[in-house]
Amino acid sequence: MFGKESEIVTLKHYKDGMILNITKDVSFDDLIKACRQKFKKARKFLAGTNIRLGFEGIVPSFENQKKILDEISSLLDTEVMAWENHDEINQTTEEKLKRENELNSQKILKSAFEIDVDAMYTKFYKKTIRSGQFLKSDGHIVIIGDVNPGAEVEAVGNIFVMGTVKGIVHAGSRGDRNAVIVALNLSPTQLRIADIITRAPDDYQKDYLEPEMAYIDDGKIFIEEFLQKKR
Amino acid sequence: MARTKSQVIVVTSGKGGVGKTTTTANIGVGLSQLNKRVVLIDTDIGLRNLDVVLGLENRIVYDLVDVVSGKCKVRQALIKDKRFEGLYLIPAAQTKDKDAVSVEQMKALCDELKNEFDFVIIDCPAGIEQGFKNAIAGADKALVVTTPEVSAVRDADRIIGLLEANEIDEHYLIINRVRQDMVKRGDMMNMDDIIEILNIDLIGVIPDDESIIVSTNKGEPAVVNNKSNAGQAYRNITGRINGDNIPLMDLDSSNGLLKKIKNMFSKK
Repeated sequence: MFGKESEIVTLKHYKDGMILNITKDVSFDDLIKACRQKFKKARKFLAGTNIRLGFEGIVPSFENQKKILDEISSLLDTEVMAWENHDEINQTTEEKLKRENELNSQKILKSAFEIDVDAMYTKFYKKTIRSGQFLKSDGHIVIIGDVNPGAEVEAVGNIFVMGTVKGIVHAGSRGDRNAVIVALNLSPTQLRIADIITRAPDDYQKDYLEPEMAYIDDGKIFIEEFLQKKR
Repeated sequence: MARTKSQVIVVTSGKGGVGKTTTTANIGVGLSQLNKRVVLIDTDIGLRNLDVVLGLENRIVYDLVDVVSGKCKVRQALIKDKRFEGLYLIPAAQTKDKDAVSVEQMKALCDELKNEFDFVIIDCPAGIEQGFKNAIAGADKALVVTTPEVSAVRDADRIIGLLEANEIDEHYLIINRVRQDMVKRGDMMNMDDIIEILNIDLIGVIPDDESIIVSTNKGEPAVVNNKSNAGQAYRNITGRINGDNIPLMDLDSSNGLLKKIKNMFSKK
């Protein structure tokens, strides 16, 4: 853009992964140095997530690709996998891709149940779920009680907890990215919606108590106050 | 392979609550501080704790059962500890059954991990049932943890018998939670009495220390705390496991302010 000659690699983000575009034919040492610099900047956003990485431009040998993946993997402290057949997806525009993905996830869901997600049945559970217990539903789940640390709740649809969530909750377990998790106090060990996993940052102390809702927007999980204040 | 001397060590006790998990965590961290590549495996399926003690609970996606059943690759289940270079954890499953893992599967897993790590340390569940059998399946050595109580020593004796029956002949004793003041008064079992009953080599004695409880709750193993007596004891044990010759710690000298002052003067 500004005629930067130092750009050996560029990074493109897609919904399904990232593409590393290698624009210059340089030695492997220089290449790996460039990769390291590139990912160092993105470290904060990427740490703890699983990443798929494809190669484009002057594609290195298979062995060197593996070395680069390992390098980034240890730099970000996360699993970085090769994204092998990204070419086909790459040809379509990102917008198209997004739409296709959304359609696909709904198709999977529809074909699995042949029913409307919102009309799925709901499992009621009127006790606290304790460590080691696993509550699963092919529809939605409503819990009147808490989800303790070490407990797991998994629903194909939405999860609603009238209590405190401290364990692991997974909504949209078959890939529905529209699923949401609502709780009176949302402080989970891990939050999972569809194929996306998050956790609170290290040393994070929650110092308020409010009903909250977790949902996916643009491929990321967001948590926001559930009851909108009326003024 | 470079790692010809890889070791699989199981930490076991028979009795519950004597400090197996704390010992596993501290030795694991201690060895990683000596620049070793270490993987800890929690085999206490259904009652997992090691992840909590290490402060890694919120990173778990895949667990031991997922690995042995082939649901994920070993690499995917390895949780890297950001604070300690070279330390990894394979957590136990919390919501699955103890029989989800078999002896053969554990053996295969240990063999696989041996190629990549210097030390594979296995946290054994209490008891002598399937979980225990799985934990010792792939082990070359055992650390038997006991406390100076008749019941704990009795269980340790039973465990040593079972280890020998399973041809794990290299086993070492760790005596945990020793209170030297009580031993002196004759209110607590003496170290020599315990060794006499169990008749195995002692690898370390750990004093009863409040800092262990604090560090366990915080998820920061005591072995990195220079002020903790128990931490020092664990550092000594890791050194011995690593093959260094370290004399047993004198539990007396570190007790009480008055003694410390006395020592300061006597050093002159």
